[in-house]
Amino acid sequence: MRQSERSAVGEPSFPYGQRRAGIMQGVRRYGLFYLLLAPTFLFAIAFYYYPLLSGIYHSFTYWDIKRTVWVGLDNYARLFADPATAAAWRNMALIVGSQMIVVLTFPLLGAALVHHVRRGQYWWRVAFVLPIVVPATVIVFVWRWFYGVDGGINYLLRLVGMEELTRAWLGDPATALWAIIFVGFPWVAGLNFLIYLAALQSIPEEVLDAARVDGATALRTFFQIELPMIRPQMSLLLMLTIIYYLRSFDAPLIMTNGGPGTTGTLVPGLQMYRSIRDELDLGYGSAIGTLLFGVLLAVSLLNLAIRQRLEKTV
Amino acid sequence: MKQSIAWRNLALWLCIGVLALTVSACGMVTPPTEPPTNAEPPATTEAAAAGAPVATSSSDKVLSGELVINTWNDITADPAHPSYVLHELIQQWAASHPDVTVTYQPMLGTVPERFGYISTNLRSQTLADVVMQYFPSPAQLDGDLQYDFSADLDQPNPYSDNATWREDFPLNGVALRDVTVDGKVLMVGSTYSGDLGDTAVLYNKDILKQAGVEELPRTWSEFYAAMDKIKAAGYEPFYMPTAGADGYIFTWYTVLLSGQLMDDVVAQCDGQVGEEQDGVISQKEAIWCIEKGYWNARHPGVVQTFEEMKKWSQYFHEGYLAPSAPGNLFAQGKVAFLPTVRLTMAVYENDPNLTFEWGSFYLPALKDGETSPRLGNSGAGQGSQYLFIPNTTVDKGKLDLARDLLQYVTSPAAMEYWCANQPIPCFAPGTPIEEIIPGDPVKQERYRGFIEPPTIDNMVARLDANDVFGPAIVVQENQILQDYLAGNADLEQTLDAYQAFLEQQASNILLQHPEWNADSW
Repeated sequence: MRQSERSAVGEPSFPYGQRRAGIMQGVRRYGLFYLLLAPTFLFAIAFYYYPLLSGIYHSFTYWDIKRTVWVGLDNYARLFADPATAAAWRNMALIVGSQMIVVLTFPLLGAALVHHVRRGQYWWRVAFVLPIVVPATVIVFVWRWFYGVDGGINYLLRLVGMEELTRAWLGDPATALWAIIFVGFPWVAGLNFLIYLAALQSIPEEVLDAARVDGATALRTFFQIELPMIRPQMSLLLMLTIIYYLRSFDAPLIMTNGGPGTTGTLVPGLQMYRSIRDELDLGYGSAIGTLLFGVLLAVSLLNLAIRQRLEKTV
Repeated sequence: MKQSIAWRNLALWLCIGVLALTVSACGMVTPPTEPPTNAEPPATTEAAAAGAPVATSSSDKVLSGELVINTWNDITADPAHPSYVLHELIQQWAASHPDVTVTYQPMLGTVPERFGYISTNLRSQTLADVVMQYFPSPAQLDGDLQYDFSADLDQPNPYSDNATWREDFPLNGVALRDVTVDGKVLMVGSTYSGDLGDTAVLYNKDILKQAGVEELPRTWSEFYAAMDKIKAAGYEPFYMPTAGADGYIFTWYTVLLSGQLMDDVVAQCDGQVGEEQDGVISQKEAIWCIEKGYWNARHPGVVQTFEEMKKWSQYFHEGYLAPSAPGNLFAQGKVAFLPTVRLTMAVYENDPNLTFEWGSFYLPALKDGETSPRLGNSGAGQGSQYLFIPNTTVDKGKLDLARDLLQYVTSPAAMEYWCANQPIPCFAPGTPIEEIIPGDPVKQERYRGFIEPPTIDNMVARLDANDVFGPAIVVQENQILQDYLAGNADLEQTLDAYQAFLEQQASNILLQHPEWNADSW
């Protein structure tokens, strides 16, 4: 019986002496576990919970390392009054939305094709998984070169006689954000592919056989049998994508530093990073971080609720 | 059964991925060909290469211990770079103190990143014992956290025969002017004793010839006419990075324009709030100026600067709004004009791929008949190699060690050695270029823009975001202008954004300086 169930049925309360003896017995019994957990717990307090609380506190201050001045809600007022904030969240929404579409399509398509391929499946898997070893930062740098005036994309366009389409992809406000979203095209390789492939491979063969016996085409089997059965993995990847891109700012930082202009590719994470690193305005950066944390927390709770609901329905 | 096989496959592939990553990471750990970030230079060998100390101390004090120096980039890497001579001087000093070990911790990254490193680590008290830097910005100086040399400067330098250390600094100590805040001298360093500018514009003679530009422009309208011809000839006229590692160049040229259009603001703000009236705007004066509304986005000088930048931007290189791609457009023969700093001249002088003739000139003034103010002067400080001592060094009991090094590298003998080994030897203001670089017309042409017009009495007043708010913050100013140049914002929106930027930064600086009592202004 779980603790919550016990209290629900109205367990009788024990006298103080008995309760204390019970605690001591628990400590004796699980003391070693607590001892082993302690370092991890202390590190978590030092490196996660303390900075988190410190960040929230400092979001109400002007803080430049040297001095801390209480400014109340000024940082939040400034944050919400700054037109860059709305633009940064708008950019982020576009990136998150695009990546949600990407994660639900391209790696799934790749995994489905590899899953159904009969010959050389092993080598296809190798080809799709191998890019995992390339660090994300390297990929961003490579794409930055692609987007240069003399970079790969313009070179290809010139090669096929479409010179009029060449441009500084990262220097044009109309294309810079899309260029960042496009990094990693065709997005089929990597961990997302691997999770989809494993999910597809874990579907019981009997179910698929039954569908075939019933005369279902490959396409119908995919959409009506396989896709519903990998829904938990799709939901997991969707949530991981949302959480990742809500806080991610490596590509805008490396490729454009938020430009061109004040808001071309600015996202909240980068806005926070620049406030802290370039301007040493740590209080304002903390306010941005606290807002971001609130949104991430809400998304995570939403994710939890959706998953619980999904588990109940399955 | 099938499910367990699938998860086993997943685990297997994850293991392969991790293994491959580990292998590739190991592959990256190859023996470095350049000195690593925290490399300790082999003091004795280097000292031998640098030669015997050029000055000896009159003090009997025996120094010992370890001195860690944050260097501006790796000063041991390129013997042709002006900063290599400072490395030699440091090694000479180390050789004359056998019980002292010197360790370098180079500050790498882009120029704004290095400024950011210094500011952050100064405040968090994690800088090395001595810090070297170029172009000190008044916004960076902090009298609470940096050692004040003013008392020492009034005492003799043990490596000098002068009565006081202050007398060792050439040109009446002009280099100390920009690093003095509230009477505290917060930096000293190897100072160029001469009239050499820090910035100029390189030109590709071949492109100018092909475009029909017979002479270098002497007025702003001639400059535009030349760029028109260059553009018509199919070349990119002017390399002007507005973002990325070289984005500071754009800032400097904004300063150059505004510096010619805001004399009245300088006159109103110079000498206020107890500051000296010296033609140079201190951070305190500038903040007062913003608070009082003299320096504001609607000032005609600011408006004209923005409009001029927009007009000029039609001649900037393609993709100037994005961080520059690898490769140098000037060296590739694609752009006619390249703004540069003297410190990078060795890159061009030693580039075997530069097959065309090139030289340098200084941009003409906006108004005909006037002379452009100079951006940076070596003698007046900006091109010198400054060194400062964080107060943490004093707390660690290493002040004697650190100060002795600084006294050595700023002694007259060391300055003479430093000057003699610079790409352009030091010279008295007003010396003709033919005497400075005699018998070498190629080099004369390459350095003319750094020497003519004279710099020492013709400096920008420093009423600009770069100096007042700090080099790392001007990215914001650049991006506000980028919006205007790209057509994302009209002039009114740009001026609004600029005013909000000025006010926000001023407000932050006032929070940093409660001792100014700004409420009483």
